[in-house]
Amino acid sequence: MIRKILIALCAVAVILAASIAAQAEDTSSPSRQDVEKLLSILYPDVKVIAIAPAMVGGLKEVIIEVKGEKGIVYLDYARQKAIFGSLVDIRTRTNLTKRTLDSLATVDFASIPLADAIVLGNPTARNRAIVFDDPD
Amino acid sequence: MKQLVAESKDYVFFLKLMPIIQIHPDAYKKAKAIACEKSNEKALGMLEDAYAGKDVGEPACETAVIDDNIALGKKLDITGTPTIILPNGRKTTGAPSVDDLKAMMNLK
Repeated sequence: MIRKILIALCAVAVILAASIAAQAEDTSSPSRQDVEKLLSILYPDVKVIAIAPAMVGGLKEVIIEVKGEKGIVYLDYARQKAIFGSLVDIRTRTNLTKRTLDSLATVDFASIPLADAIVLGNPTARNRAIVFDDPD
Repeated sequence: MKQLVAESKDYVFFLKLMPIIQIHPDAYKKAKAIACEKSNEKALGMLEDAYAGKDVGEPACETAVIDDNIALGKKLDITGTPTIILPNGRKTTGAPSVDDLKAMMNLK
């Protein structure tokens, strides 16, 4: 008798937890292969590079690569709907999607010629960065 | 960036002039004029003038540097300025605060 009650309580707890999770942050951890399989319905050759919680409750931010180009798609908890587009922080007016995408494209720092660059700061400093700038 | 290098000798920024001629047609000439300046100190001064909208004069030499920078920017898919290339190869566009800049440059 007690065991049955315990089992029932556990079931309720799990259901509650799942529904709370669905409304708040999606803390599930889908595997890359599962998501790749799902998205391949839309893009047959898609590769999933990373999955992270989106900055919006209930969504996962999935970084994908199709034909060598990177993109971001937002996936719902039920894994039924996908959102393509930009997530924008209203108050800072930041395009969060673009910011994430930009930070992914890396460049070979060492391959950029610096001999003709204008040096701002101590030339022998150990923390270096290169700035492409428009004089206007 | 100016603030950061004034505060600390541990940071340096290598500026490559890449005028976006579609939006700023005069910037090409300004960039070439600055590129012709051999003294780094004077070049920095000219750049400041350019930012302030002052005239920096005509290019005093023939130089391929600006064209090279524009071509490189295209190859690296740099479309906005300023774009900072961090030590780990990531790009970021815009002028970050001193704290953000320090944090970004110390990332692995």
